[in-house]
This record gives sequence, C-alpha cells and structure tokens, in this order.
Amino acid sequence: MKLILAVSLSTMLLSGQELALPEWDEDELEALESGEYVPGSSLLGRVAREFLDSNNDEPIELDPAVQNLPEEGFEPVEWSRVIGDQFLSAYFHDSPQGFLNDPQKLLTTQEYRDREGFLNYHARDADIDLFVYLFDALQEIPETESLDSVVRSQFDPEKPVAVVFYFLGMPEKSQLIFSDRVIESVNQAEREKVIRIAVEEALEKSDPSSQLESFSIQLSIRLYWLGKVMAMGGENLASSKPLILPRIRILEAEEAGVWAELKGRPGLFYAVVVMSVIISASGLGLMGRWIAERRRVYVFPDAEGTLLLEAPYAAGVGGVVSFSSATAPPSSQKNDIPD
Amino acid sequence: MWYADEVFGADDVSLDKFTDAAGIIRMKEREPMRKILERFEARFPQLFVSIYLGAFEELQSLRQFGFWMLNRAAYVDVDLERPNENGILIVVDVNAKNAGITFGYALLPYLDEDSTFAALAAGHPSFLQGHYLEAIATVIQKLEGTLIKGWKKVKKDPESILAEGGQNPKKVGELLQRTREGNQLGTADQSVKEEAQNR
Repeated sequence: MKLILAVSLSTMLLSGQELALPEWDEDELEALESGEYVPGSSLLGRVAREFLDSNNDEPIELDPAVQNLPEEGFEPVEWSRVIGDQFLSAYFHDSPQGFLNDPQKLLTTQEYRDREGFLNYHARDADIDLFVYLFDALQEIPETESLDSVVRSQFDPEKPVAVVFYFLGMPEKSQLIFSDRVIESVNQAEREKVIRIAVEEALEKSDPSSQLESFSIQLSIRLYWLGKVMAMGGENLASSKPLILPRIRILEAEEAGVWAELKGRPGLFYAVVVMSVIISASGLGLMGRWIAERRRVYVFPDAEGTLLLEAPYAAGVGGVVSFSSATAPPSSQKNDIPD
Repeated sequence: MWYADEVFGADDVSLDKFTDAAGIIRMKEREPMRKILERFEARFPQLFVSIYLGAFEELQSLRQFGFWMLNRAAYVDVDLERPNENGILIVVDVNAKNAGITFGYALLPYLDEDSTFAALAAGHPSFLQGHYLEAIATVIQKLEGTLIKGWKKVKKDPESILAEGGQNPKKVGELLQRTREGNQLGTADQSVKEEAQNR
C-alpha cells in the first residue's frame, strides 16, 4: 500500500499532475467489507482484536494476576523508629572516631565532609569541643541507653565537651549535654539557652542538611562564648541572673591578661615600650613632614632669556583642551594644531 | 606678537587676576577661588596664576588670545614682585568649551605643552560638568605638582635646566630693575611696543 502510494505520488509529481486520493487494493477492500480486516487493529494489539472479533460489548477485565499485584505503600512507621543493632555499639559503646558520628551514613559523603570540617574548625578555635551524633528523624534512643550515659562513659569529665544527639530533619528533638567541666562553670539556664537558640536557628531552614548546618554553626558560636566565660573562671552558679556574654568584658579581660603577661616579662615589656615610642615618633614625624611640605615655599632661581615672538613677558603657549564631548577622552579633544 | 596686537589691540589692559567675563562663577564660589590663588602664591612667592573666563562670540584661537592677554595684561591685584613673565594664565571659553594655559618666560624651563595639557586634562571631568571652580582647582593642583618637580630638578642642576628652557641665571641688578618696572600699566617693554605699532 505504501509502495503504491509512494509510486503514485512520485509519478504525479514528475508528471506535474494534481495529487489523487489513494485507492484500496481489491483484496484489502474485500477483507474490509467482509469484516475480516479492522482498520487500526495493528495498533490495538491482540487482546483488542480478539475482543472486537467476539462482538462482546462487556468491558475488558484485567488479568487476575495483574489485579492481585500488591499495592505500593509506605513502609510501616515502626521500621524507621528503631536503630539497627549493628549501629548501637558505634553510637553508645565505642569511643567516637571524630567530632561527627554518623554510623548509619545518613549524610551524603560531601555533606559529611562539610559538617566534619566545620566541627574540626570549631575544635581548633573554641575551648569547648562539640561532638554530634546523627540519628534519623523518627528514630528513638533505646531505653537502655542515654546521652548522659554516653558522655559519662566515653568522655573525660575534666575536658570541656558538649555532646549532641541530633535527629536529622527534626532538630527540635535534639539533646545536648555538657561534661562536668562545663557544668561547673556555666549555670543551667545558659546551657539550656544554647540548645534552644541553635534549634530555633535550624528550624528556619526546611532542608534537613541545611538545618544541621545552621544548628551546628549557631551552637558553635554559643559554645565559643561559653568557653570564654569558662576560661575567665565561670559565673556565679547560685545566681539566678542570666549569664551575659558581653564582648567588651571579654576583650577587657583579654587585654588585662596581656598587660599582666607583659609586666611579668621585663624584656618583652621594654621591647614593646620602645617599639611603641618608635612608632609614635615615626607617626609624628610623618605628620610633621606632611605639614612642613604643605607650608613649604618653592623659590626658583631668577633667570632671563631672549624674547621670543617679540613678546615682552610670555611666549610659553601651553596646551588647549576642548570639553565639548562627554564621551570622548581629553586626549582626543586635544587642540594641538599650532596657531 | 604684532599679529596678536592687530587682532586684539596693542594697548595694555587692566585686569584682576581672576576675571569672570562670562559671569558663570557664583558669588559663593568667588571666595574659594580667591583662596586657591592665594594659596598658590603663598607656596610659590615669585609666581601667580590668573584666570580668565570668557564667553567669546568668535574667537579664532584660544592660544593666541592667551598669548596676547598675558603679554598685554596689567594685573592690578598682583604684587610687583610677580611680573607677568612669572605668571600662568588659564583661559576658558565657555561658549566654545575650550580651556588653555599660557605661561611667562620664567616658567619655560618647568612647563611645556604636554605638562599643561595634562593639568587641563585632570580638570576635564569637572569642565564637562560645568563645575568650573572645581576644574580650575584641579588644574592648579596639577600645575603645582609639575612646578615642584621642576623646582627639585633645577635645585640640583640650575644651569642646564634653565638652558633647556632657553633661560640663563639673571643678575641681581637687572632682576631688581625688571621687577620694579614689572607689570605696571603702560610700562611694558616700550621698544617692543613701538616695533609692533610700526609693523
């Protein structure tokens, strides 16, 4: 059929005649009229063909095997609440391998590296180290285990440490416990405030990974200042007044510390004094020179020469610039044609 | 010079060192302008800067006008110790939007066409915006820098630097005489004037 159509079409094109409608082959026409050939049957497939041949008006029913296929559904919630037995020791019994503990590999490799890198940076910069244990959002800590027991069994109480159980996607479930060294120096209200602010910061993000990022950054900031308070000897724990972390107080304390250290080392003290005097004198000298330069008087040697162009006083014809065009540079508006 | 005299006149003209013939400087800008000129004179006790802002109808050559003006002007508010040959004249034609610089013989060793053009180019953005006070202040500041460089050079080797500008060290007696004659009205070099008139 296609061949006939193509041949007739090409013949007509060559002969320049108008296109004519295709004609049925006699055999196909007979098959069509007898009902043996159903137009489009090749597209409908075997089942449709049989259905049409049977002259049955009832709707087609699906194969029972297909009908009985199990429906895809959500996994039971109970499944994700439980932490696998193979991970329990990594969470609760073994010492942490780093500042970020994710035995279930809830984070992608890149996310893990980013978070771990940040916690390492925090550890270098702050007095209180931060350890983060990651759990899935709906997972629950086994009744026999707790964050408190982890801190007491895995960490040295004399070291300032903060340990967090963080539930990925649900930061509000997070738990934070400090080692005894921190608890001795910072009152409970402030310790609770640290986690509360970090959670609030995390909840501003929607993506679980971004939540963890915000949480750890905010926690790191708060822990940094708590570390400074701790280094100053801590707060009065009996006081109900909230702990204030004024930057100025801390800076003053640091300055006082530097001064005391200088006074204790006479060599360094005198070197600093001499350097200060030299720098001040140099500054004053530069300022004096600047003032002197501004007040300086420039006297040229008196000279005389022959008259040029018969001019009595001035023959120094200098440059002329046009400022008619704002787009062209001055160099292209130089009037250098001799008059 | 005789040609310039034919075009603009052979008589000396009495002028202030700052003349706003075009009337484009506001009253409140006149005091800053005066201070700029005074500051220059304080730093360079032999020199002075003169400003002429004109709105010319048909000025064929700004250079020629500047050349004529510095030779024919008698500045009534310039000290006698500062003759015109020690002067720098900045002329601005606000109609044609041109600015030019002319300078006296005494400055030939230190200024030239390139350095004066560089000074004008520094003030070009302000000229474009019509901020003439700012533009002139910039031009003078740039000229000061060029003069200070020249002063440093001439201090080291006066004779060769002066010779480059066609000048020789002047004797004290002649200097005093010329300074006294200076830039007083009608006391320009009579022989030159007579020659120009004859031509």
